[in-house]
Amino acid sequence: MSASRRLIGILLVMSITLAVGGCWDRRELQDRNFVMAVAIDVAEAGQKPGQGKQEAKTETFVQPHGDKRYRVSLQILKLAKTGGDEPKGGGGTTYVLSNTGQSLFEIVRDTLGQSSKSLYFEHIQAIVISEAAVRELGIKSIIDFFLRDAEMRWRIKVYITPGEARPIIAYAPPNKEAGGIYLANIARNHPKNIHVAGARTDLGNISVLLDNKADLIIPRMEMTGNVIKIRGAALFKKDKFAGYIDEQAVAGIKMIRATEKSAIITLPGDEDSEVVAFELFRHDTQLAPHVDGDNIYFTLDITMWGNVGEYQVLDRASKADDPAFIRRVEQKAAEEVKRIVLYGKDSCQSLGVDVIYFSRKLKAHHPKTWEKVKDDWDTIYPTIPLVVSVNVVINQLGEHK
Amino acid sequence: MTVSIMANLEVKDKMSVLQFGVVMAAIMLGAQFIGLPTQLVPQAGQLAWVSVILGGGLFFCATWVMLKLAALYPNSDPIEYLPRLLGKWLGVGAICVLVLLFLGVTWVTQNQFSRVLVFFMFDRTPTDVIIMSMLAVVAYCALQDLGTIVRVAQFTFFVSVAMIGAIWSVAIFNFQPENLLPFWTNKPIGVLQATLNTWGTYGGYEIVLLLFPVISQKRNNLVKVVGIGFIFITLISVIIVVVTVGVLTVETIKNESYPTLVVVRSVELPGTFIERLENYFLIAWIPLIFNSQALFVYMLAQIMSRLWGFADHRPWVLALVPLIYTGATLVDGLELMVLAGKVLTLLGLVFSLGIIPLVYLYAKWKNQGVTAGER
Repeated sequence: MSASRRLIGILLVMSITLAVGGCWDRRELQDRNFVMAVAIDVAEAGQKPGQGKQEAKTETFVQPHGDKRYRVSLQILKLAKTGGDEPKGGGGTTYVLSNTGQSLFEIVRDTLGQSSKSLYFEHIQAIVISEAAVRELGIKSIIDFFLRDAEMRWRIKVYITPGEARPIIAYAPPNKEAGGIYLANIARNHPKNIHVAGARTDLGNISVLLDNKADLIIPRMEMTGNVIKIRGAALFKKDKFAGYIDEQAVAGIKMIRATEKSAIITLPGDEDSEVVAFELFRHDTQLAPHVDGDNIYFTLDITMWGNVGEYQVLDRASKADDPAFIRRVEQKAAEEVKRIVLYGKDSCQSLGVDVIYFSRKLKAHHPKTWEKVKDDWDTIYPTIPLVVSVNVVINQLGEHK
Repeated sequence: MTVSIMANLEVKDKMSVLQFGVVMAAIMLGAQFIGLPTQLVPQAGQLAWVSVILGGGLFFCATWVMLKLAALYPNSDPIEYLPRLLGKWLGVGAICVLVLLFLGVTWVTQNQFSRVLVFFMFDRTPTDVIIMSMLAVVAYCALQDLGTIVRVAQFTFFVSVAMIGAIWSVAIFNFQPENLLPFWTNKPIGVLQATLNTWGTYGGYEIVLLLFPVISQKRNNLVKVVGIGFIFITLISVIIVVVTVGVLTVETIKNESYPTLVVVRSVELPGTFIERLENYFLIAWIPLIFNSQALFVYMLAQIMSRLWGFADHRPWVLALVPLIYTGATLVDGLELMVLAGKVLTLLGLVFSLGIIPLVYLYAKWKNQGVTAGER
């Protein structure tokens, strides 16, 4: 047998082996229930609208040990085409199954009792956790299940909601997108929205931070009526819920962490009625720790380049092409950025939550100082000053001056 | 440079120096790089890359000593000259260490490979089926002559490395250089301990002892080619460790079962149809395992056939298959896997840094084999 024939033979046998392995695990698309999002509430969270007590009882299972701890709701993709005879209010491309118990894994498996097909988590996009649930036992015990299972994605978007989590995943997006994808894509818009804490807040990032015993920031999702929005963020002292911060604080934190890609900074113009919006295009941000004897302080140097994105002026006598006016806008923008940064920093320090990388930077750049202060860090951190220096450069006026 | 790059398809029992370099790199770059950060980072922390470089230097030195020893007996392999040099029992004992080492590596690799594949890709397929499937193709390859095996290794090695490199490069999106700081440690001994643990990464270079006689006579570039092979493996290992620490941090690596796969998994390519990159990564990894295993099985069969006076290695390939299967299924369970890893590393270190240097010094002292006829 020639060498090339043998080579071809070996490659053929290899490819056959791979195919055989795949057949063993073959599962048809229509035989799966794709879970797109998960909501986690406390077990005794409010019943679904129109749900009777008996129905709530049917959803759960007999549990030999411990109390019912969580209610897990799964948003499942409807694979069949949605027809025109859909009941009013029950439309959309997904439906939700709920169950209560202690172990999330057991709850999920028991939910198969309500499902005609196996539950498949490979395409899960979002996890919404209620504040009440994280207050119960911290976030670590909730996300553990999602970190162990190989089906889960590392980039699942995680949200905290002050209300119930289930109604959020039951929400039917107006564009008929699958609810889980819709929820996840809201956070994916974070590069354009400085109010959304979407950078490094995914499931995998949370896992890394928890492993490092670091504090967390997770976007807060709110639902009122038929309106869903990411508003501010929830801060965690390591595993424990510490409180919420607003959008301005989120913006400040993003500027300190240099995770903003774009931003709109609104400023007053020369007159009371004037408003100027500076649009950030690019920035160079350096956060640096300094140790001077026993004193620790940080400096933040930001240079921003951007555009005049909007100029509201009552009369049409625009001054946007006046260099002196542009200089004044640059100075005001720099002052505003500084204010936002310090507001973000103060919000974090008041909650004692270090999501602005102070400990991380100190550990990386001054390891010996970190070794000395790490045990007292919780006391030291709220007092650490940040010296901010901002330089704003406007290099575009927009299409219309 | 007199080394021919093109493979001579007619020569089936000889290889060029360059072909040897590829074969050595292929056998080294087997299963272990998937678990490399797990082995090193708990001891060396963010300085694990230093351990990788030190390990590369250390095991290159060990290979260099092997080359010096083999050069004393250029036309015979260790199965011939070790009993002649050390006496029957000691010589066979040294060979047995090598056999145990190779056999142990095949057991652990097959087991690890099947578990990873079942966990990430084929969750309903029994690990035994994965092991049997892989052993079938490995045995088929190992039954061929050396020339065919070398050409298969050359082809699959470059294709796999290119694929893995392309997939791995996307991890740069999540890379944070600060995770590699500080460039300081209060546990320098950990860095040195991890250096010894890199045997798992570099192990396989021992084939130089066995393949030396079949490398074509133009061996003046051999040390250089072996050095380049080590630099290549060191570079790949450093990139793997640096990127894994940069993406996951030291503490997360300690908590992850397969950190390298998580690094690939953490990449999201929005707007593309490509998802779950770890599956593509594993698909590219399979040929590397195949390469490495086929070479190990071929080497084991060659040693056994020479020891027992067989003219052909093929019956031993078939005899080894059930032995490897049994070993791979028995070395199961987390504790046993850790223990097997430790034993193999110890055995590898004893062989490379203990037995071979002593044998070389003894051979030099006795000045055996350095005869005009042997030269």
